[in-house]
Amino acid sequence: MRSNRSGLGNIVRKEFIDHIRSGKFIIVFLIFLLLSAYSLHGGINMYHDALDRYKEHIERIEDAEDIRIPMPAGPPGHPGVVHVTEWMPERPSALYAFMWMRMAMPVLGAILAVVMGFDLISRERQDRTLKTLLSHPIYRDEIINGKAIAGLLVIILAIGMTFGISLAMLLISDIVPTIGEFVNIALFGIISVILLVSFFAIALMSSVLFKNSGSSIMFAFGIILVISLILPAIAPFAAEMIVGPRPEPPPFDFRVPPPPSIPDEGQEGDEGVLEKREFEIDPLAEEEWAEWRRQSEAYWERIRPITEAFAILSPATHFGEISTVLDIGMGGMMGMIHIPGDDIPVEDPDIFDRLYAVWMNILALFVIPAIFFAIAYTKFMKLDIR
Amino acid sequence: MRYMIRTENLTKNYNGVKAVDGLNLEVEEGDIFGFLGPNGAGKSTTILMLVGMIEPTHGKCFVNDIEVSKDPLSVKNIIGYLPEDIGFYSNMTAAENLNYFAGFYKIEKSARQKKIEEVLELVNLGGVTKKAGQFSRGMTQRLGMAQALINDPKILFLDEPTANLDPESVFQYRNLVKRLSDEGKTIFIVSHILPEVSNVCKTTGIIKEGRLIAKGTIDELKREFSGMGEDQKQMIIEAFDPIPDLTHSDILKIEYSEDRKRVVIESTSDIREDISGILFEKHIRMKGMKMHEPTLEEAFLSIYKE
Repeated sequence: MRSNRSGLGNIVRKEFIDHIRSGKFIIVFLIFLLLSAYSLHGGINMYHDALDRYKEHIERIEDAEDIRIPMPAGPPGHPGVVHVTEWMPERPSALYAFMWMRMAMPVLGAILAVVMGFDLISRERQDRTLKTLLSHPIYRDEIINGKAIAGLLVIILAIGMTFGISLAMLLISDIVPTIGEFVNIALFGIISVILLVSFFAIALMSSVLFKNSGSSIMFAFGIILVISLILPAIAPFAAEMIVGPRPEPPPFDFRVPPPPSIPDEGQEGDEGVLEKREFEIDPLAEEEWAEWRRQSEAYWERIRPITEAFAILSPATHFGEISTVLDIGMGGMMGMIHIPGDDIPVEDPDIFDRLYAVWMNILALFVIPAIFFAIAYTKFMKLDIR
Repeated sequence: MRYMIRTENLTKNYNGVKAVDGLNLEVEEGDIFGFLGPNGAGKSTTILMLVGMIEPTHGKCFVNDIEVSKDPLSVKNIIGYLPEDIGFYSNMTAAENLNYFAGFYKIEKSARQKKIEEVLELVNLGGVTKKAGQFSRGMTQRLGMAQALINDPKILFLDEPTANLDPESVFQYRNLVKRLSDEGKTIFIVSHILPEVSNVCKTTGIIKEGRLIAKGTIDELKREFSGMGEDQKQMIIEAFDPIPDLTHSDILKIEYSEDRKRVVIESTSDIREDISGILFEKHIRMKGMKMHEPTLEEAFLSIYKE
């Protein structure tokens, strides 16, 4: 009798069924699903509020003759003021509804993924099933690979269900995403899968390192806490210690305020500060401010690599950066300013350009689970099974 | 003569300590081989190398002429292994556990189901539907025997197979081992329970500090290590009255107790009839007379005293 070489498939099948039948997975997944749905529900309400505000603005623009908004420096050629009739608010995007889900995903995903992975190997050792399993014709790596693949499939299923329900909720709430928005939502789903896979890889590594499942879960959450919260939180302080204090701004303003003016009749009491005040610029002071801006930019250029290094192992940070370029949770408050005579068309970068801008984050999001899985794999292959 | 199991200078070091030290061993096809030794002697390490679960530091081992470390999967396909501390998936029934393990072999689905039922019947677990997590240790051990038989192996490795069994299960186990041997399977049993080995094994090897120090049939070991030759007999006579000096041409050695009511005779033949005649003539009232067979325990203890 020879092996049918289907050891990997056999393990994947068994592990997949174990996951979806596991009481703890079902409970945590239901909580995950409910909280995701609740987050989306909150996002949908925010979307509708933003839509109402948008409609209100449109009505006001149609009604208003000339309302001006003060700007700190103003656009080129129009210092200090923008006419509200020239400010075109943007219709809220369906992606805005995912704002809370985007914030909740790293926390809920970490819990779900750790629950799935923390005892995958440690339980086999505790229950002495690993030796029984290895006495049959399978390669040792098929065990850990099979568990990892089954975990990935379950995560895809979980995220797929979550996003399926989310889309259904959007449609029920009369929010129909455009094709572009739909692509962004799909990409958000994919990076959510990778985020959860990262946490799952940490949990799997922990289950290999510890024979006891209690220690394994503590270690997994500890690692996630350190790389996702503690390191990014201390990064600015550490960077400032390394680079030195930030440049101080000049002690005076380069804008010379004009004498107080009398508001136009009928414009008081409107939302926003609407007045005719215009600032004058002191050229010498402005030069000092420009110098400060250059120093500040140079300072932040030195700070950034340090803070990025601290957050390099944080899947949540990369997930957040990529979500931002995908406009997840955005598009509810932005407006576009159209300046008369300024006819240079501003092209919205396409999705590939946007993703290219965060290619480092995308790469890191793939590399992080690979690192933790590699540690788990190497350790598992050397595990003493006596 | 074909050796199904063969080791050549097999050695395993753990952190510089030799758990198995230059082991040379052969087990013939169809044999029931008992591998004896106290805890820590290197028995389980040897079996783990033979079943391809750990690699030797030096030396080689062959199962059915396949070098285990070079092709462990081929070896695992033709062997069954019952580990000492076997465990099963607690959320699955006995049949589900076996179905999972059977999935690693090329067995047709219909044949697989039939085989599962057959091996469960063999170990008296047929019809048991409760989850393995609710099994007693004895039931788990029997399920372990079933999983070792799921691929109809040529060679069976059993590590302390009766450790958790009740007397009835031990009896059934012995019958099963004999039946499997009759079918032509080679069985390698690791144990420190001497009666178990002497009851079922045809040949035995004794390991001490990782080295094989004795090997042979049970009778050969008993004789060799009890200090008695192949044709020697030993008799023990007990009487109510002091026993006078006994003489017989076949007597090699005779030892009297202090009160002379007990005597141990070593002779070249069975002379019980002659001795009872002598004692009857001298009006000695006998309490008992028996032949003493050397035991494996005596042989084992003798080896370990050396």
